Amino acid sequence: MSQPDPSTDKPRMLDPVLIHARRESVIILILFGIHMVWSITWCYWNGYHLPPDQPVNTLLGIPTWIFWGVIVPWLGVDLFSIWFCLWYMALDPLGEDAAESEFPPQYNENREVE
Amino acid sequence: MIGVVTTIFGQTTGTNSALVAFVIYTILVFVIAAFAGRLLTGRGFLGEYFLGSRGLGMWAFAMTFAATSSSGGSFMGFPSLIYTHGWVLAFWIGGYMVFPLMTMGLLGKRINQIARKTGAITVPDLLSARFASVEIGALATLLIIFFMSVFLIGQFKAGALILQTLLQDVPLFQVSEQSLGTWLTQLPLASGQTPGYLLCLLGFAIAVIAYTCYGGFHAVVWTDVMQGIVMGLGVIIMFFLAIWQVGGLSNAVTELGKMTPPRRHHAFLETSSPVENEFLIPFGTWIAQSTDGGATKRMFRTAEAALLSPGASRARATQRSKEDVETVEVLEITSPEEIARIQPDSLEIPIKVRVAETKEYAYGAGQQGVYLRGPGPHATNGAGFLPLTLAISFFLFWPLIGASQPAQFVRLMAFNNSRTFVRAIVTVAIYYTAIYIPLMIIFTIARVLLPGMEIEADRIMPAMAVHLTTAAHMPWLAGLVVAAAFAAVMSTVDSLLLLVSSAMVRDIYQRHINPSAKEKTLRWLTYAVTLTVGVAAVVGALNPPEYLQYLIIYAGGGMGVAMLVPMGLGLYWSRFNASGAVAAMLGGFGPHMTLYVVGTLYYGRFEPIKLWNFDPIIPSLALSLVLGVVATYCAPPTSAKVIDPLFYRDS
Repeated sequence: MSQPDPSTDKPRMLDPVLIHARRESVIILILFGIHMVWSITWCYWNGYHLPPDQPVNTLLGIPTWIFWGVIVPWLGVDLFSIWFCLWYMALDPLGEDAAESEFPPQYNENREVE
Repeated sequence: MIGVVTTIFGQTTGTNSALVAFVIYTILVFVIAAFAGRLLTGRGFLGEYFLGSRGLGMWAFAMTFAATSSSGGSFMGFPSLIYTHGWVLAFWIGGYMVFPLMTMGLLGKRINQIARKTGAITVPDLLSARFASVEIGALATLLIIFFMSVFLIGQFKAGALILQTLLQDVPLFQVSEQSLGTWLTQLPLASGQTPGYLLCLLGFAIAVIAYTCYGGFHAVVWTDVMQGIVMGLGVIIMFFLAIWQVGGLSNAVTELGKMTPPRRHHAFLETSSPVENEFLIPFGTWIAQSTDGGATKRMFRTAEAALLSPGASRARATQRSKEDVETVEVLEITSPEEIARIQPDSLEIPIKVRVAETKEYAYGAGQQGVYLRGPGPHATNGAGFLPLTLAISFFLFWPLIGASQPAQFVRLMAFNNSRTFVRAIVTVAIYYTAIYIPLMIIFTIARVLLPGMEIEADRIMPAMAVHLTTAAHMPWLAGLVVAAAFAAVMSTVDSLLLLVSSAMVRDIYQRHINPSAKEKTLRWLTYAVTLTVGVAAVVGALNPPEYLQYLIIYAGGGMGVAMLVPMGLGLYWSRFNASGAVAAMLGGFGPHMTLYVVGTLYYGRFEPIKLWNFDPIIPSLALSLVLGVVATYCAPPTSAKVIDPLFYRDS
């Protein structure tokens, strides 16, 4: 969480918004990966290899492979989103708005920073 | 007299409702823009005009995000694909299940925070401040102007086409088309288009440019809210009407399971003896024909209009410039259940169809159930509509490219606090579920209710709206339903218009030409540039490139691969520096562009090379990431003076 400031050697604390946002982003990416593997694997094995003469099974009027491969994970992500956004994600203060009329100080210092 | 009036209105109620809906809708848009315009006084002009003073509440933020993401493609192209290829489209759009979390949750909080800390009001502003580099901002500006201009032209064309589709049967529009539209075709650069298209392009452009120009970001956001509501209502109404009229979803899927793809023919349309007077066989005419002594019934539908001249017994295609006009394109329905349901048109003169040449579907011909399984039928691709590698590409494409669009970055810079942010993600997630899953169901049902629409699949959305509402004895409702498609494209166009004009005024003029420009100057320049960008896009859409739809996909993908890595790593990795950002931008843009250029030269049409059958965004994103990381370690870190305020606690 803390790193030394190269100029002063004093420990610097990472911005809590950064810590929270990064943790939340990692969870979102993992969720994306899981659902991608689930959907693609399920749909491919159950929807792409049916013999032409075999009727397609349905559930609630939807082809079963779509129901379990797309609809169910989709609704699962929605439920997860409700929990994740309303109970897990941190309600971080995002700070005051810097004045827009002029560019922030570091903006014009690009020549000296690199 | 009363009888005549009643007859006219009775015949045109359904079609006029589209015009009435459009007029009411446009008036509402202008009223909203007028209110938004009042907010521009008394606040910092650029911050208010381009970003709404970072004050978006939950509903405004959620709906503008959702509406901007849903372009004309969601309401015209997507339904057309569902109709043509069946349930596999649910798999194709499957990446949308994580779309709200990926496009908002992944980067949103940090984008908003850094934008506040740096006072950024545009995407190049944000990148310049993060990397302390004017050059990064300039590169981002150029990329935004390049890609978004292409996108904008495409959306203007889509808007004009949707409007034309909505209004083409309205008598008032037909009269205007003959007079004003014909005059428009005589304008320079407009010679190649039909009067109807030009008239609609002009109407669409005037409406959207005027309210965007006058009201700025708030006008765009508030109209997006209205447009989002219209889109949602339209889909929900269609969903319940479709389920009711098909007799339940189970019945629809049973019927769909019996269907086989149609055949396309070039055929001679003939009469038994020469006709005395000119006789027109309209586009979309159903012609039944018995064979085997009446034992087998074949059902054809004309895919183009044909004309029998006096003394002739064979019709000629009327709207083809090719020399071969003897044969006419027709579609043949192939499943007996569909044939039994279709009522052929009663023609004054019996027409016989004699097939000259047949094109079977390359994948799925004669296969029952092909609309219910993967990879879905395809007319020309022997591997079907969605082979596995393409399915993987699309599952990645939607969330990753959606997460890297500058128009959405701007919205992420504009919400007012974290509570708004998290609630908006949930709202958009529920909204998308309520839109996209019903759309799937509605347009698979459309295959059952409206057979033979392959001849004009792009019109399936308005055609289905009119069919459902007329059958429910509520033709006036069609206007509201079809307005959903118009709202979708309008909400995307206004956002892009503002994005391009902000890049020019804020990121080019104020930053590089006149940093001390007065607010009054910036105000008038902004109006002028927004207007100019809009007019330029209209000029581009007068004669759009032939492969415009593919150019739109190229522009969306190209923007995404150039922006995702620089923005993502820039927000979360303090070591990531300007060298890495430039390498990542060019590392995404370069290979993506190269694959398209080489593909176009190789295939002779605008099509990319697909390495291992993957979309170009996959290798381009991978290269962008690798080059970004390598270049970062090859250059010194960004100064602590820049990094500390963005990554570390103030104390």
